[in-house]
Amino acid sequence: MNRNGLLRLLFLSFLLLSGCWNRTELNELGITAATGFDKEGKEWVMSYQVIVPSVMAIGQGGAGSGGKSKPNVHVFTNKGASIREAADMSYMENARRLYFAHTDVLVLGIDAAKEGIDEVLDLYFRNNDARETVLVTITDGKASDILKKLIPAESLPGTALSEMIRKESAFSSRLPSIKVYQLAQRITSDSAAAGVPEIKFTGNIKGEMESLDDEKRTSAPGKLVLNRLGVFRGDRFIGWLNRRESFGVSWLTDQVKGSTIAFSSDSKSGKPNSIRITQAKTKVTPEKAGNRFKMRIEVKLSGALLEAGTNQDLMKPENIYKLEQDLAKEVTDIMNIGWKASKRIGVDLPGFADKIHRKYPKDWKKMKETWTEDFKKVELDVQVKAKILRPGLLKKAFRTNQEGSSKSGK
Amino acid sequence: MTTKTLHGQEQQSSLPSEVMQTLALLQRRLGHSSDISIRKLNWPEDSSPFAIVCHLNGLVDDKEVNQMISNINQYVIAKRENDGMSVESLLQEVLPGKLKAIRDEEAMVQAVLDGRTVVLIDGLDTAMAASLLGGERRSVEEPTSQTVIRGSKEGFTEDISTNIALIRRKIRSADLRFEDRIIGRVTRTRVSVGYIQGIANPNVVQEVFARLDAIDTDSILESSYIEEFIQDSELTPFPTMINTERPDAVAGNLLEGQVAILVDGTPFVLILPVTFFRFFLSSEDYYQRYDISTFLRLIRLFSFFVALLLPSTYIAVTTFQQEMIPTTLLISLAAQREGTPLPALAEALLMELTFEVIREAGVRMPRVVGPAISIVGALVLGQAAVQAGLVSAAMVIIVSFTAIANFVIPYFSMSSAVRIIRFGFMILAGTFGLYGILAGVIPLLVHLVALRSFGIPYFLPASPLSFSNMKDVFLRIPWPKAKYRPDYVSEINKRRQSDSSGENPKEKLGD
Repeated sequence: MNRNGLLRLLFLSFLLLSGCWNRTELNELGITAATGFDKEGKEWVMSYQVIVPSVMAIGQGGAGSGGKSKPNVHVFTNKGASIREAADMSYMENARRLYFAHTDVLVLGIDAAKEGIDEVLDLYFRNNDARETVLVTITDGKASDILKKLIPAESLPGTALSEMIRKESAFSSRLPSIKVYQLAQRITSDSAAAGVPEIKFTGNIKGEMESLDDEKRTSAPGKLVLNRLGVFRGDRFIGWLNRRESFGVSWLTDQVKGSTIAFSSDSKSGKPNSIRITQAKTKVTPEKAGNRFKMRIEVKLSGALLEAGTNQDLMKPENIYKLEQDLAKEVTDIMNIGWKASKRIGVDLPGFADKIHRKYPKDWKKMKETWTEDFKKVELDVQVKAKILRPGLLKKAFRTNQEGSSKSGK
Repeated sequence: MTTKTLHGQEQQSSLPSEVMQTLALLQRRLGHSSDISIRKLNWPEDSSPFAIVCHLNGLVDDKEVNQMISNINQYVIAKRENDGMSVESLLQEVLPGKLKAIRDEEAMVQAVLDGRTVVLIDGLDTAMAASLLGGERRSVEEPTSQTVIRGSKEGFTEDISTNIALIRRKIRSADLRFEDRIIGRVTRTRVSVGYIQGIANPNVVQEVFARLDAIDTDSILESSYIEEFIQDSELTPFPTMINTERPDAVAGNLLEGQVAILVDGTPFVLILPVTFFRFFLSSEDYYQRYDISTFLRLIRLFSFFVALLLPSTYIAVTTFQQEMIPTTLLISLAAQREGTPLPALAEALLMELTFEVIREAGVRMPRVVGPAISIVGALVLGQAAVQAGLVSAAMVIIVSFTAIANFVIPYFSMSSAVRIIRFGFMILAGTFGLYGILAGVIPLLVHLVALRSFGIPYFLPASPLSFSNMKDVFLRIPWPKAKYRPDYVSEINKRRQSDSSGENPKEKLGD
């Protein structure tokens, strides 16, 4: 009994005492909000934006955060032969354990992107502390420079950056957001193509927006903006698409969640209408036409009219119908621009390859090898069904009311 | 001399007929304890006693004793002439029905100790005892440990007869039975088992008596003594019996087929058998509307989980699974932890222990110094500790919420169980994180499922799953819909109401 009790005690202490080894207190963590990947020659350069919680607390507690003298984040940059070795080098200059689970966004430097990002993806899938749901961005320069920039009115630049991408994706859809796992899915699919939003700093002075002093102005001299779409073929960057082209790709790939589009209707006034798209659905079906493929693209979209440039009375269904036709034409044009840009870069960004593979697997086997050239011969058959659900509170354009009243006044 | 007892058996009296000899016997047994009062009634002529009245001070009603003494006087003087004194006539004429004949020493001594008044008459070898109980007792007051907003405000007292009467007033049924046992060799405490015949499971009643009869101890001072003697398993923090101060709760439970054990000297009555979920029901649930009662029951269950797992979850998540916390919350927690000296586990243990100390102090301290404790507890230990950077503010919030959630559990015995288990979970969480908590929850569930209360699975109706018993566990369905009793306690007589109960008035109003 006595020996038994001793054994139990020993067992219990083994259990309880050994458990503490991987315990990390919150104040020992260096929580990173954003990470950046660059390449210098053969070496990886890793940058991470570490949150400084004590400074954050000053901002929260006090009524005015004006007294704050330190930024909320601190950026470390380290070099190494591999990515995690570079991260490991951070312990030479950082007192905290780097913690990646709360990273929201990763920035790829252009050099790293051009040489291939397979190592980055491998890292994100292999480790459990790095999440696959991190948003991916690319910059035409060094990622470390982007991480250093403050975003005015936001406490954490990394989080603000990811929020910017999310909001853009939900309310504009021109540069749709992409997460690590989505990027991996797309570049390993048959089309082997993916678009990543570009983040760009508009200022041109070195070191601008890297100090709290720059935040003291009402409008910052340089800002971080979402600029273009960086296109990947496989794991390598190959070119840029501008916003309108990228919007076309968004439509083709059913990534439009909400957006505001300007479109012109009657040639007389020449003024544009705009619509807030609240629902959009794109269906792509490949159709075999002899030796070639034709993609039938059916788009259904609906929304509310925000501005009316037309002179027509919008209470009449035929006028609304006319507007819908114009809107459909505009969306068709945008899609064609996107498709043209894809062909120009030479990448199947809309992902037609996967659609064909799924519907005609036998044909796909034959055409797989030559697809990079063949896809340019694919024809689009675009059918857009646009629906204006709410014309708004005003019957005609304001301008026509004005004309009417001046006439009656005479 | 022989007389007939109630059972018709011949019984020989072992007492002497000489009154002074009997008194000597009594005094030899009782000693010269200062609370024994011996009143000698003397013949006016030779001042030799013709009767002796003996009782304990403070346990009898002095007025009634005096009344009895004058009755005895009249009786003796009336019978002196014709010398027709007999036990039978005495029992008939002096306080009819209240006097009982005693024929042996042991019973006589016990009668005095029970608080009865013993009368010895010279020339008779039979003593008589009258139950003229009185003395100072606490009156029926509002229960202090289980208060309600709506419902009966009566609480049990320390007097078992009062307590039985309180229950009887609620259930005026011939089937309500109380059966007594005297337990405790020294204390000789009266223990009464109450049940409703025809509703209570006879096997359970039998088992209760069997377990009570097996107790051989010197003292029973509170119902918890009985509880520990008769419980199914000692190796559990969970109570397998409910104790309550409320007669209405006892009445309600008796009607569901449970058994009540009343112990003299305590206002806490045991109810058994019980299931785990019973501890989250308050008698007030049945007095309020069923919707709010249902909501409150869910709140109580939620509070149970909070009280059990909140500190440990906080420790686990902040020291092991930081990825589970939303980023902004993580940053603000991390900011609070900047500069605090202790690891989260030590901090939590320290704060929990501090709270337990304050709580214990609050119970034990004299009521006059009450405000002092709350000032020290709330200001010094709460606010000042945070400002001094000893503990993080989040930890104070966690500990306070845990403490408050603990008070939501209606029965103190269950909330004590939670208090103890909580510490185990905190250590598990501090060493293994969420995995440790799960590694604690599973054995806890296994234990709960294996536990039994008088043969009834403790975790009913969740395991074994019984939907028919679910109507009064998480939900409280309205009374007209509760046609049956929960069938796990009462295997016989399940029906509570007729099918048409509560239907007709509504139809008439609809016309």
